[in-house]
Amino acid sequence: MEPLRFESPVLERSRFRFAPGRVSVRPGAVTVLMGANGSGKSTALRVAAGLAKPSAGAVLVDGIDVAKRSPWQRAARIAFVPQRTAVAAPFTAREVVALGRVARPSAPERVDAALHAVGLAHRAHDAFGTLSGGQQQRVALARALAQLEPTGILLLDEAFAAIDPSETVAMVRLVRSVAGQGATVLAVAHDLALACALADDAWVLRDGSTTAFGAAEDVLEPVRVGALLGVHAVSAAGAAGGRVLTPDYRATMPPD
Amino acid sequence: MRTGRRAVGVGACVALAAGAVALRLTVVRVPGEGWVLGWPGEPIAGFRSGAATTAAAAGAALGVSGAILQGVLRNPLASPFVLGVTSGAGAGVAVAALLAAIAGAAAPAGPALAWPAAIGALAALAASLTLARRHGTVDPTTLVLGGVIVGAVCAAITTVAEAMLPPERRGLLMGWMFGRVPEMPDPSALRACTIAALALTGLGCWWGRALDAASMSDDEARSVGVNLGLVRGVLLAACGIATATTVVLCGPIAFVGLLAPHLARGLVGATHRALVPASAATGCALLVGADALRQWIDVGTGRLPLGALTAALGGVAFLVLLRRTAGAWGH
Amino acid sequence: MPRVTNTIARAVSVALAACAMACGRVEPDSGARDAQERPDAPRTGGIVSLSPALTHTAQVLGAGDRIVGCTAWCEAPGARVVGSLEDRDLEAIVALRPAVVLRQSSAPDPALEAAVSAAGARLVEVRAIDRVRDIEEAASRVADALESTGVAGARARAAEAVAAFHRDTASPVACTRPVAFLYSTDPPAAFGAGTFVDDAWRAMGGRNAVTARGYPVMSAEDLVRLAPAAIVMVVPKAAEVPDWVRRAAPAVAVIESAALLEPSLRMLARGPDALRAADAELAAQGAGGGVP
Repeated sequence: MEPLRFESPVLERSRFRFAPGRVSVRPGAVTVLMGANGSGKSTALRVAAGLAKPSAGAVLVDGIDVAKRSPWQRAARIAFVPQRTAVAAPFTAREVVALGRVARPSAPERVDAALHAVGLAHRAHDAFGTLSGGQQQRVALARALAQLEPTGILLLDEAFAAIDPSETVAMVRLVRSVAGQGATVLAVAHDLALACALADDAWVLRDGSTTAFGAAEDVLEPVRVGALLGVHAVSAAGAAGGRVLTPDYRATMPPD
Repeated sequence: MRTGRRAVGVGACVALAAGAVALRLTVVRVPGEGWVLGWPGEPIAGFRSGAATTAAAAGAALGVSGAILQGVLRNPLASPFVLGVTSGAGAGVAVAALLAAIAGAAAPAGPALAWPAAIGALAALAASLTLARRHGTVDPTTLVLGGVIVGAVCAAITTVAEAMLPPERRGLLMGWMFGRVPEMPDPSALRACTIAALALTGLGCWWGRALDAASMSDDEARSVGVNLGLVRGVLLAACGIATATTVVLCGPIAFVGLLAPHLARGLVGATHRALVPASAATGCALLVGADALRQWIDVGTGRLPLGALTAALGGVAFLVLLRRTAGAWGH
Repeated sequence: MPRVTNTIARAVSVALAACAMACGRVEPDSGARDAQERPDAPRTGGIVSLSPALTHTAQVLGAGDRIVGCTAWCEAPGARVVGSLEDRDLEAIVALRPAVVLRQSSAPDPALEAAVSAAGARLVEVRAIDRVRDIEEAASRVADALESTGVAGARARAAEAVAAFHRDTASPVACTRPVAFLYSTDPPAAFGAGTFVDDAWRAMGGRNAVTARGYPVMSAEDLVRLAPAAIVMVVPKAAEVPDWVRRAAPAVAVIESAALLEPSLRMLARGPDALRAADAELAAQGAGGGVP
């Protein structure tokens, strides 16, 4: 039973049509979702989380249409971290992480473990509003981790955008270990190097359609990335093996 | 905030409420005579306990409404007034007074004002909620705007009706508009308000975790499992109805619904399972306290209107609180 | 959604406009008409009153048939509504071509003054009327203005009304123990010291249980502590006496009189009778007898 499968969902907004076709996201791996702005990356995550309903087709979670599930049932399987997190009440960091367990049985030890995993245990009782942007993003990630079952589905929308590079190392390791324990992770990444660090699989969207889906070493390869994302990518060997791609913003791409 | 501290905080709120009630029941400054302390005989004891019970019920209802509204609307300045309910009740009362004057009947007072106030309040609530419906749920920002507009329209209706009233009847309407804690409350109004306060507190505690989650964005709240459309709709309607019962009982009272949750938050933290009952207690303390204070002030020309006291004191207290908690709200 | 809000907005504007028109109750034909355009229209020499108290005062002074403009609450048949205590329609007032304009307010109204003097009329402005002597003074000023525009005998009637009041209040009432006069019971509010009802009652030998000045709003407890020998409710229309009021004093009476609620010559004329009737009622309930 595939945990997360896109069965040709179609979502139409003004001047935008999201229709990625049939895509199956692998469990136990991190799938990175890439594409230009407006290509449908956030839409893909929201449809997968059941937050947006497609007009045709469906997204199946454990074989069942996610749009037909109740919020309670969805929360048991899917954890979602949006692009921007905002909490409109003077909660402490720990209270925000505990919000992940709202619809789940109470588990304070999981809340503490999640906060510790993102490296913010020492700020647990500080007001969320006093944390920096990057720290708030890490708290949001901790919230999702507190909510998530080991074999659950984790959806990350640009979850590392504001985090310092030094902290990003730890977050990448954390997300990959979560995937390693059997979770299905679908993460939107804008940054090419970050995508290379995270990805086991890569999925590229353009104008709402899938232009590439496959193993990271096949898709995230300089020539293909150049064609898919319109940027000249320079490859380097990564310290832990694998490949690190960096955009060369001074290089102009040949026209299509 | 750890559970132990939270329990102490709730205890502190209840103690505040009890203290305010004790003051209202035993300390009064009689014009011309000075301070009178101690438990009085009948019928004065009946007046004081009637006023204390009324203020406790209305204050609790307003405090809980304020706490729930600030959570649902994600806005620390939200209050029962923001739904337009208070102004709607005022408009209902003004129109009823006008119709009575036109028909040559006696001016409606006391129990007779209950139905016009309730109808006006619920109509305004329905209008505010309808204006704010978007994508199957009520949008918090639009609701605040819609409530202000509905409130303004109701205020206009009230002004027009007032202007058409004969001068000798206007004073009574003006008196109602300021809000007052009746010493002999209408029993059915008091019963309705008490039930509303208790029911709303129960509902707020039952959905306390959902309210906590609702402080995040719509997407995040839904993703952690909250049925946002249902929770918002039911809680907003319930707050509207509870506020309507307080307006029927006491007329429009400002600031208690706004201030009580902030006071409670300072003592018990922001999680709603503790905040909701604590707000009931602080709301009770505020309104009973304001009414007690009213009995201590003698300016030589009668008692001050309660609404003026709650606005003056509430305003100052709110400014102080605002400065101290500015950083913590995360905006 | 926009269509619904548009419809709502339109309906609300129509409703408010209808209210505004009904509120002003200004007839559609009282638009701007310049005096010079109708040179053959006779000067009416009428009276416009922007205060019910002054309207009723003018009526007692014999100028009832000369009142051409009034407020919505004046009982002046045949007169057109041209304003209220707060507002006035300058064009309508000028179009009526009055000889006298009566106004009761503590705030000056330069536009009205200019319009009235341009129209060659006389403006009588009275500030707050609270006490009997205020009523007497207002009456004498109104009488002067009326006489100067041809209402014969106005001054005499003013003097007679005042004299009659002093005659009517000369003999003492039976109930000389403190009495509270309430004009509202929810919240309780009374005529205090320095009001016309207080003056009238005390002129008749009575005592006011409420010694605070003005028209104080009280708590029920305050009223009960005053321990009045009697409570009199003054209401414009018959009303029920609440239970607690009945228990708050040994004797309770109700005066149903709009005149007693208004500081005008009409009050001087009818007030003493109404107060005596209440006094008889109270005495019948056993509240008679002096000795504070």
